[in-house]
Amino acid sequence: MADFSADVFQNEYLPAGGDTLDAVITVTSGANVSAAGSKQLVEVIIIDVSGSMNEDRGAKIQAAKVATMAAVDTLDDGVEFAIIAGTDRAHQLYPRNGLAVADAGTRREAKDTIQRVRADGGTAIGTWLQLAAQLHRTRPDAISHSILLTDGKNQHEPHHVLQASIDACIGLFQCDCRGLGTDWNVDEMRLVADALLGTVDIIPRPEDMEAEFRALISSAMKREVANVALRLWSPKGAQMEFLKQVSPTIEDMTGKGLPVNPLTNDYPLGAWSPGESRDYHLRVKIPAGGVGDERLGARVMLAINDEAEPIALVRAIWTDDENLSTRINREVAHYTGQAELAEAIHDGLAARAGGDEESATMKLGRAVQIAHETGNVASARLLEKVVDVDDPEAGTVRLKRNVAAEDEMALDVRSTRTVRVGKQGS
Amino acid sequence: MTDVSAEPRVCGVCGEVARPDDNWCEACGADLAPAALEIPGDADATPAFVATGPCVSCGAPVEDITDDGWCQQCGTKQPEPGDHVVDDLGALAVVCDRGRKHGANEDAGAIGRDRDTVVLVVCDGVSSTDQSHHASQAAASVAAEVLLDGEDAIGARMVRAAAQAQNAVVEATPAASDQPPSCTFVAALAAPELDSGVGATAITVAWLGDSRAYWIDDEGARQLTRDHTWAIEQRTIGDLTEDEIASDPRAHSITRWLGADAIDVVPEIVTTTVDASGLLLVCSDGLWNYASEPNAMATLVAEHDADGPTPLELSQRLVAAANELGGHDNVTAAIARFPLVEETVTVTGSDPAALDVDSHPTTSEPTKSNGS
Repeated sequence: MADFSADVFQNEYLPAGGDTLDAVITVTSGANVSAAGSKQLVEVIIIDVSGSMNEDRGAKIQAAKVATMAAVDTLDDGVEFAIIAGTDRAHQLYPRNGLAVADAGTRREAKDTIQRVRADGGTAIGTWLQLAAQLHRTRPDAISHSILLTDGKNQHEPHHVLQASIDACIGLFQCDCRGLGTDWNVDEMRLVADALLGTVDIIPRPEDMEAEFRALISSAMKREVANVALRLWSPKGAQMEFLKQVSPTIEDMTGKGLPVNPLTNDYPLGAWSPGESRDYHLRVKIPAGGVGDERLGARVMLAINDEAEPIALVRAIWTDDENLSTRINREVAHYTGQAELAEAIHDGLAARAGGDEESATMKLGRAVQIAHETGNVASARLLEKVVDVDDPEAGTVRLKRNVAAEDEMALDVRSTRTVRVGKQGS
Repeated sequence: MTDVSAEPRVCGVCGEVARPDDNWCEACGADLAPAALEIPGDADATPAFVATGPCVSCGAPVEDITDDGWCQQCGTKQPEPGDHVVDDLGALAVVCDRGRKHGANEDAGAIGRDRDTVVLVVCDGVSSTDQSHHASQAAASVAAEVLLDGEDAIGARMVRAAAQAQNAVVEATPAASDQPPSCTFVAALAAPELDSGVGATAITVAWLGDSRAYWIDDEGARQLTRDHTWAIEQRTIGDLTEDEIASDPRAHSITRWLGADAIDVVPEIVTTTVDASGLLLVCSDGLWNYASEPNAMATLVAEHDADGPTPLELSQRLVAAANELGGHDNVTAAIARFPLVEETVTVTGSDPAALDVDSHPTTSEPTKSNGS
């Protein structure tokens, strides 16, 4: 079994009749995570080559080519890879079919092919994903990763086709989505990334693309164990109120459980690198016990290829000592705040887009206040591009009249990035 | 007592049982010394929880108890080995339970029988002190042993039992302890009183602190002990009003105990003669706090004794009742029912002596087992 450990942060004391347990679980991978299986990486790069990529006198398509060639150069020998060019349908650019094994020859061939690409046509992201799924499906045990780059909205297929295509990809590969410029749709890309355990970000300028692609490939190549799942057992009568990843970003996992048995569910975590650490916030409702009773609210296990190992216990002890039961755990409080921050940014931007300035001012003000309190400097800086801050402690802000579209989108896509406890003021 | 070194050893290579003095395995020739002494696994690791019955809460079968002690159905923590200790000698039994509020069980009980003589001992560890559970266990076991084995006059034996229990507590005291372990002490010895007619029983009770003994029969309950607490002692002195006593923070503090910091460990002793049938109950305050007056205790016992339960069943019920009422403290109830039922060969607990038939060939030898 692979090398994982966990810490649980919770107040296990509940008052008489109390039935709701909150816990933050930090899962950390050790140096030997790969012990469990294959380290083979399969990388499928999906590039938007629709007609809009010709904008800026060809700067976008040129930058996309440079970035993709850089990504190919970054691949270690032995990585299996393919490149898909996407328009209103999907074209496999390299190799002609199947996957290529990276070496000096295939890298050169791939780059030659990329050089010759011309941008033309529409955008149907669902078809791109379907082709990527076909390729990834041939390597079920590999660490399967894709990069999806688009500069526009999914205009040339109905939404339900995109949704169905995403659903068909779940569990086959992980996908990091990048939007170039400001004409793409954050919610669309988030839909893909959430389902496929990836990230979303904006690449405002074409010239930033190369560095971003190199970074994405490097981090994919660090992954050493695929198909990791958080396996949660809860007692009879328990109800999972929510399960969220809360660090490094907030991702709701509540609906992603796959039943193992009536009391146990697997929540897919994707692939892990050695020495990684992620935090999860769990809230579970369990049947209340009597004062003095001690029960397990959840047993946290780590499952890889159906081998599971217990890593943490979430406990409940009922007490009539209010000094114990009213304490709020520091980590739980912190991440509750980070989740509220992300929600306030999201709601504030939505209100602003809908013309409800009063509500937008209030929500974004609250966001500024939490970012300030919890030392989330990155979010605070992004907020300052959208609002003028009069008093960060009180959360008093004014909406800026002129906001760059890229600043608003950056705030939106990065609103789910959290900071950890103890990083305040850094 | 069994000599540990005389335990049969098993060859670590082939599994052959070896004689205690063998250095080499007769069957395969392997070196016995290291293999036989080897303890598998990490000595510091938490031993796996061994479930002995269904879930205490939802009744899920024993297979559903995990090896870290939780029910896989309802999630209830199963009691630790020391959390609920039972000993049953038929005519007498002891049940010692952690209760609902305390994290550890610092009570201990020990019972024993030699023909028509029975001994019941309860010690209640003072929870503010270090290692109290070790102290109370050691004290109860030693005292029961002294009381059963002694030939001297019963009063002198009681003093000796308390003194040896005190030594055991002091031995259990960690070096340089700011809060040396301490515990209460109550011991009852009942034996036929031949001078007072057929069936009469003489009961001698010795105690230090607030653990109690009661005699309960058709006429009600009689408290045989008088608590060594600040409140009771002030009432005897009579200088303070009842209100002043009751409102004093020291009211419930015990004034006498066993422990390295004890001033005087000569117990108070009373002797009484009782008629043929009834119950001798020895208990900690975890029980009597819910039935402080003798009448209340008589009622509590009567409620659970109507269908003629065995002493074990009755002890279990009284402990369960205390837990129902809040279980604010550790609870111990030791009960002997008179007339004593015929002694049966009872193998209780994991005491190797109980299994060592060779060293105790007849059942008339003293049987002593401790409840912790």
